[in-house]
Amino acid sequence: MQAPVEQRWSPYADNGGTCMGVAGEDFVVVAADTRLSQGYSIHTRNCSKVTQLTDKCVIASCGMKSDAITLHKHLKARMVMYEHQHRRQPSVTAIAQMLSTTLYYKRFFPYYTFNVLCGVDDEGKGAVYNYDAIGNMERVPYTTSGSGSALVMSVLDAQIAKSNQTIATPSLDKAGIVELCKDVLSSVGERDIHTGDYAEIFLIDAAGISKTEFDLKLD
Amino acid sequence: GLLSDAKNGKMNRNQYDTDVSTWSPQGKLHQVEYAMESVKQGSCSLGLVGKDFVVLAALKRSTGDLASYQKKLFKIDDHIGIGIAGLTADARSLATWMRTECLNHKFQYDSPVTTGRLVSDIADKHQEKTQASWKRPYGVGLLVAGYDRDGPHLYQTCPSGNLYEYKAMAIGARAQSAKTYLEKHLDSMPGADLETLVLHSLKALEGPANDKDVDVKNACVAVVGKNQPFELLEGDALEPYLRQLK
Repeated sequence: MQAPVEQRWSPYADNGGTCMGVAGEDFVVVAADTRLSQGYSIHTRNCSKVTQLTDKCVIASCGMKSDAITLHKHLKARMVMYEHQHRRQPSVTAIAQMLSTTLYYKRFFPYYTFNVLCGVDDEGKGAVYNYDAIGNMERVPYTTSGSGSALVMSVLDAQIAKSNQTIATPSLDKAGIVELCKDVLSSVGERDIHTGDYAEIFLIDAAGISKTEFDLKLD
Repeated sequence: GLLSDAKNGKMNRNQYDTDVSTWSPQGKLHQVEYAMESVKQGSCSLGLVGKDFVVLAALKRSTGDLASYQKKLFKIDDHIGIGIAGLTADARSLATWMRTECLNHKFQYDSPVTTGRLVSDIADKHQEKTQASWKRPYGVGLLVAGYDRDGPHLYQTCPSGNLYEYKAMAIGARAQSAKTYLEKHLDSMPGADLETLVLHSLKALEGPANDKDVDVKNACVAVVGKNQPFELLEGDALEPYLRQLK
C-alpha cells in the first residue's frame, strides 16, 4: 500500500517569460518577451507584459498573467485617482511606493507577480525598481525578473556594473544598452523554454516613451 | 423673493419647513425648495451642445483681490465633466463619488460609463436625501457634460432629484440672461464648429457677468466630444477666444 500524498489545487500558475530594466543617466530601457506559456505549452506568442502608467513610467510583470493583468488594471485606476486629486501625473518614486503598499495589502494571498517598475524620475534621471511578490522594493541601476532572470542577471552584472573587471571599458550609451537588452533576451531564448517568440523594447527619456519590437526564436 | 417674503411675514411655511420629511399643506417640501435657492445664489454655470461637442463655461467668484477664484468646472472622466452652482463642498463630494463610479465601471466593464446612467444615479442620490428626516438635500446643481456612444449630452441635476436633458442651459445667478442668449443662437449650434461653440459660451457669460468684464481670471471653459477628451480652458488659454469677442 502506498503512503498517502496530499493533493491540493493551487491558485497560482507560472506563465513564464522574462523582463528586464536598465537605467541610464537620463533614460531607461525596458525589455520583455511576449510569450505566454503554461508548463510545456504555449498559450500565445504575442502577449505584452508591459503596461504604460504615465508619460514617464512603465511597469513590466512576470509570473502569473491573471494577477499581472489585475494588478496593472488596479494601478491604472490609481493613476486616474491621483491625477484627479493632485492635478498632475504621479512621479515614478510615488508610483514605486504605491506599488509596494499595493502588493503588501495582499500579504496573505499575494499577487503572483514579479515586477520591474521603470521610468524617469523628477530629477530627470533613469529609475528602475525591483520587487518581490509582497512588495519588497529596491531602486537599482538594472534588474530582471521572470523565468530567465537568472540567465540575465549575471550578464548585466558583467556588462553594466562590471563589478569585478579590472580592465576599464567605456560605459554603454543609450543605443548600446538597447542592443545589449536585445542580445541578452535572444540569448535567454536559446536556453529558457519559456522565453521566446517576440520581444518589446521600451525606451523612456525626456522625449517620452517609444516602443520597438523584434523577433525571438519560435521554438 | 423668498427672503423678502419671509421678512414681510407673507410666508406661512414656518411650521412645515423645519425638516425635509414634512409636507406642507400645498404639497411642497420646503427644505428642497430652499436647497434649490442655494443653487440660484451660486455664480453662473452654463452648457451648450453641438453636433460632436459639449461646451461648459462658468464665471468664477473671488472673495477679494487677495483670494483665488473658486473652481466651477470639474473633470469626472475622459468623457465626462461637470459645471456647478451652489455649495462647492457638496459639489466636490458628488464629484468624488462620480469619479469613483466611473473608475469602477471602467475596471469592471473595460468601457466608459454612459453619461445618462451616471446622471440618473446622481438624481437618485439627491432624492435619497429628500426622504430621510436626518439628512439634508445637496445644496448644489450640476450641469453634466458627457460624450459617449450615443453622442454629446448635457444634463442638469437638482437638489430635488429631478433630472433634465438640455440642448443648452444655464444655472446660478442671473442665469436667465445667459439662457436668453443661448435660446437666440440655439439653431446655429448643431452646425457650429468647436471654436464657435466656445465663443458662444463666453459670449453667453456676459449677461450674468452684469457690468463686470469676462476675463482670463474669472471665466473658465471646458470642452468634451468626438476625439476630444475633457479639457479645461483657463487663464491664458482663454486669451485667444476672449480677444475674438472684443
